[in-house]
Amino acid sequence: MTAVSTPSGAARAVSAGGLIAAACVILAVAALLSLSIGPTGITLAALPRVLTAIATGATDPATAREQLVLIDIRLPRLPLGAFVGSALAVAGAMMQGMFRNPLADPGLIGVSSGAALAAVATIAFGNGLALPLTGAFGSYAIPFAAFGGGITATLVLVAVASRNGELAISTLLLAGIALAALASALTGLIAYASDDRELRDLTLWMLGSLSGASWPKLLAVLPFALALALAVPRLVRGLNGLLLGEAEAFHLGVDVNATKRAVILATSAAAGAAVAVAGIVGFVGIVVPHVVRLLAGPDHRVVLPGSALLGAALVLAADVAGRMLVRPAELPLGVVMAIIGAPFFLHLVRRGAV
Amino acid sequence: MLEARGVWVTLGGHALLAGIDLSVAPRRVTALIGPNGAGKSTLLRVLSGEIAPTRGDARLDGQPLSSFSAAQLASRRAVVPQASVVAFPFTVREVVMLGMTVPGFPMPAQALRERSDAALQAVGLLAFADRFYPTLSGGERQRVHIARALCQLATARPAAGATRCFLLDEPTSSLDLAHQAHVLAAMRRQASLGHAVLAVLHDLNLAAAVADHIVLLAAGRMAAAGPPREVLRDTLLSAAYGCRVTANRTPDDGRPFVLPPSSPLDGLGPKPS
Repeated sequence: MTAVSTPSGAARAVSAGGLIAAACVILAVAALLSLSIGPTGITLAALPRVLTAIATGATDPATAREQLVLIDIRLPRLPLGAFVGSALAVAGAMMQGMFRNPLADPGLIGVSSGAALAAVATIAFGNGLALPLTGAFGSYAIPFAAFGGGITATLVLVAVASRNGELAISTLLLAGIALAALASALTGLIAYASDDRELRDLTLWMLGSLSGASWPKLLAVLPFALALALAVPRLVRGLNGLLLGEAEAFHLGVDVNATKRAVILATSAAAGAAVAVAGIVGFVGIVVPHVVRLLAGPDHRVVLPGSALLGAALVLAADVAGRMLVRPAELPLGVVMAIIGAPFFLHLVRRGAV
Repeated sequence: MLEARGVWVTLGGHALLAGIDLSVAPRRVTALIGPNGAGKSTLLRVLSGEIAPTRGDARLDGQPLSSFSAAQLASRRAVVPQASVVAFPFTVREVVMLGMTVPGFPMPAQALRERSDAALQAVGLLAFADRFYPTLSGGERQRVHIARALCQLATARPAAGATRCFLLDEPTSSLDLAHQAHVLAAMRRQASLGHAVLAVLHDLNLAAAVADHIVLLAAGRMAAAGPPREVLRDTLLSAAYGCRVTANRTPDDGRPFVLPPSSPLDGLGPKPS
């Protein structure tokens, strides 16, 4: 790959604009595949006809079955998968920027573990202790609990790591690791005490999946997607400053404590909402921001939008692969992501890029 | 005018600074000297607004630093830290351009680029603009941060008449002679633009060469302050550094210079040929 000069004059594998444009194309391809591939085949050639029929409200008996599949299954699954990928990748990128560590991830500081614990508890105690919750929220009890668990873990973490109103990054990391271990242990305890059916349900949920995608679920994450789209661009300058160190960021005019709090809140909202609708999906948050940094540099003006686009594309592609490999059954998304992500990550480690 | 008024900083029961009164005037270079642990860097951090004094206060143009937001301070002063670790592989130009993210002053991309080029030229690093920061030597990294701070000062536009400050913590510690001269020239240039320049310096001869005013700190207290000729004197330096120091005068302009004390070598130094 030839080096090009970016607007800031840096020698990078690709320019910022080039990366964003390529990511848009990759996402568009992944989105088309996501709509057209599945147990019920809708060929790429037939896709425009079916979409037009849906848009115009026409009832074409030849495409009635395809219309139904598209409207009820594939169409909500596409934006939901894109949201999950974007949210996890952006959350990872923000965490890595704040911790100045390429291995940071919402999973590291217990946000995902807190969400998982709450979800697993809801599955296991759905007919007992958690009956009021399942009664009130029905099939949305699990996503609701997962999101609540993620936010609760974050609040506990901030309370533990704050001293005199300041948030010490090293304490945050240590407390997060301890919190994640505790949440994982409690999740394990619940799994140990579960019966066979509960065990299967919660194992499947932990493996991550988009198969439960529906319009109401999509509506539930919409406010988070909008809030993140508005909030994240405002964090770019602070995150760039923090890459030089906290003191330097302050010298450059960044309100360091406010930035750290906003990053933690945005990260837990993003990761909590993603875990809530798709279960545990690993590697997106670590692999995607890495690839963007390797290609276009660590400036968050590129890393955040690039991660959002490529994260969405990766999750959609992994979802398609999961649907293709063992059809008509589906492989869990988390499993496919780890199968793709782990070798790629090992390759990065071997190349010394981490 | 940047001032410290009766500044105390105590940490774990120890007084790092004990009642410092100091004025850093515009259009002047003030050098902060003293032995290790004298409190020089702590005083610089107080004057940059980074840490709040335990007692007393730091003021800029009469206003307490604590009343400024981080963004307001960034438009009034730039800081070169003693050491800085940049996470992730930024290029030299990208690090320098971070100095121009001072809020409220968007500039066209071309102007930003010209300004970063000028700052890199000032520290002799223009040819390194597209190099990756982690590949640089310690001295080159130090100069990158000086260029970044110069960009910050050049970009910020505070209200007319407001003092702007350039604060440097041992900016020449990793530099060779030629680059030390580059940095001293950059400091003088900022003073000539009307800015208040304050630098922590270990090398007393560099302090004598660049400073209009020298402040000598010892054990958290101000031991002396004044023009180089008044502060760089045998008795004051010997008492502050705890060893016998002899200050001499250059024959041409009578500027003070100090040679390292020979007594600790105990006769083991090289023999004059």
